[in-house]
Amino acid sequence: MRSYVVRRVLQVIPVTFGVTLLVFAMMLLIPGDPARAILGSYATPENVATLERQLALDRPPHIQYVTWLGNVVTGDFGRSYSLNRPVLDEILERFSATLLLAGTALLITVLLGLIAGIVAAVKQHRWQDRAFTVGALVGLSIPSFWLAMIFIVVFALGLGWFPTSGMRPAFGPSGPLTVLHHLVLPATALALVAAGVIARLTRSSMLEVLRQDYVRTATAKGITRRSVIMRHAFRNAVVNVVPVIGVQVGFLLGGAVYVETVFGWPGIGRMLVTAIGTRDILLVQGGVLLVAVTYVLINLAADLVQAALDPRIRLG
Amino acid sequence: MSDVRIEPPDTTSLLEVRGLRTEFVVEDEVYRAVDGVDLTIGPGESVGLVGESGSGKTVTAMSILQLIPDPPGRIVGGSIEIDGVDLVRAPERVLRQVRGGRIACVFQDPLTSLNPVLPVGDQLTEMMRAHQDLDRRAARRRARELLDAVHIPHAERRLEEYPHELSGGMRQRVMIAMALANDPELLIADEPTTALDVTVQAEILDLLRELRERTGMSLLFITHDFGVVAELCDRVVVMYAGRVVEQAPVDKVFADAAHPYTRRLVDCMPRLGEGRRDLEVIPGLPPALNRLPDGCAFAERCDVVEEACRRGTIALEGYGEDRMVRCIRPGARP
Ligand SMILES: Nc1ncnc2c1ncn2[C@@H]1O[C@H](COP(=O)(O)OP(=O)(O)OP(=O)(O)O)[C@@H](O)[C@H]1O
Ligand SMILES: [Mg+2]
Repeated sequence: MRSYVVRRVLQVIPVTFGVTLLVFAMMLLIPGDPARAILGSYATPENVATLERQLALDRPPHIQYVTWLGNVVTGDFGRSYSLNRPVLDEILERFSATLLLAGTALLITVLLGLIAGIVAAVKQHRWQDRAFTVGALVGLSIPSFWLAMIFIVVFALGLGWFPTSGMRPAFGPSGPLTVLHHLVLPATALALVAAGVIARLTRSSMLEVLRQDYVRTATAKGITRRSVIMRHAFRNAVVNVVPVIGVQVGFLLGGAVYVETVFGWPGIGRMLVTAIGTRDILLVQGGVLLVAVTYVLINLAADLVQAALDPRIRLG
Repeated sequence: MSDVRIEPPDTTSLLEVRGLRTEFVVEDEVYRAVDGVDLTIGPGESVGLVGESGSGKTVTAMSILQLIPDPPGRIVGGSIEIDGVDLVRAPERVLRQVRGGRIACVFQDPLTSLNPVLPVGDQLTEMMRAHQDLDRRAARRRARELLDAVHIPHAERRLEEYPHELSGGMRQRVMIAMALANDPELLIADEPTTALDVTVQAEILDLLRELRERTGMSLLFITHDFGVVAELCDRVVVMYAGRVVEQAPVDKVFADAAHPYTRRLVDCMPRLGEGRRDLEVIPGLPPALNRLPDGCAFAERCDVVEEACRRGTIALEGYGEDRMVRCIRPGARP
């Protein structure tokens, strides 16, 4: 296991390096004078000159990159001109809101996806499987922002069960029920498509595994059907599902942009949309970098979980 | 030949299969994989089930423990009785007690038959704890004893290992240890050596013989290989196209086979260690199981066939004092 972990963790280095290069390159792509763009149109010439020196904008690009990376690594993402506050403070605050949303959506995705997939596979050819196939088809063909709007129209405006928008911080003054109340609609809207993907994959891996000889061996041992399905079949099927859950986290983070906008959720997705609108370069850079690194780390975690579940990967 | 006494089938049988019919439905075609099989196994008896590929040996064995995947398969007739309990109609709860308890299985390919993501120790203890009231430590101790019993060295360490870390022969020993965990009355071994190297095959056969002598359990041994039957079994049941065509004490089958098919099988019997110079030496192919002909299914390939062989239904009938044959010209020679 240790050598696998070391190898897999080392792989993160080049990926992260690539991510920082791309994020840094955003700055080079700005037409005109980057320092002026960063500081906004009311910047004084002195401010522009100072910033140019800080960011080494008068030096060649690779020096600029190293300078920028040095700042980022020490937590200095610069200052957002439009909000007039450090970028780091803003993105961390917004990111915690997104984590609450995407994390809840991930929980729904995993629970719903795995359970639906298992049930559909075990009840193949029965009504549960047919219902599942139709449901998954519909679920997968609906974009999450549209689902978000339908949810608002039906459950918030129509039935009045949930608020139309807004968010309560997880550890804020409002109780967990209020937090949950605001979470249900956006998290579900965000989760359904990913849940459909996971459910379909779980179903097909389960069907594959249920045909295997070792499932027959398990049945021949005289253990309960439930143990055969969970301990033997699912335990093998989930090995293939875990990495895809990691990939789905990317879709959840990406989908959060729309869902946050529709539900007025103060997350990093909505922040990015606004920051791009106001051309707040440093805010965009910081936000994109944080999201990208999160994605890389989550996929690392998914692969490590997979290795922990499958001895052939970790020992092989 | 083993030294276990042959019990007359009817008086004290452990397992009685009567008229078993198992079908598979694939794309609206019905395949009669097992078409009216009768099979009796006495306590302590060792029965060899022989036949070409596709003759329904595995389906027969899997039907006994109700392990036929449904769909596409289904038992459509017959009964399988152990102590008067019909397994075909038994509730799940009863089946669970029999599976792994009174009847245990060893399959052909030990690599695919063991769960790849669980340590072998866990797979062994699971088998015991499904049938016996053992705590973790007691089950663990017993698992180690079982690995010792099947001659796996360093048992303690092996318990922690995963199937892919063991050799093929070692894996099959684990499967056998697992099958023995609850002292079954009957062990069903479905070509347990086919997937193994030749030298390892002999070791596994020796192990099975040794264990059977020690425990006195019955054995249903499925194989292509008449040579192995001669070494390991008291009685042989020959299947062709889903039906039993002959059953007889092993020595009689070798001395003079009653059914032409059996005779041909014995004639091209491979010796152990000579590789798989297989049963394909009989020219022709068995009939398609979805289009079984009238009369004898072997007629097309038979060297003593006559007109009457292709008509009606030919029954499995007594031949001599302790044999059964499904042939209208038993013992005929070309
Ligand atoms: N899962 C299945 N689906 C469809 N048909 C099946 C299935 N399993 C078995 N059969 C049918 O049953 C027939 C008999 O198969 P079986 O496995 O019992 O043969 P066998 O005598 O064990 O052969 P072998 O020596 O190759 O193991 C096959 O030819 C096939 O037509
Ligand atoms: Mg077989």
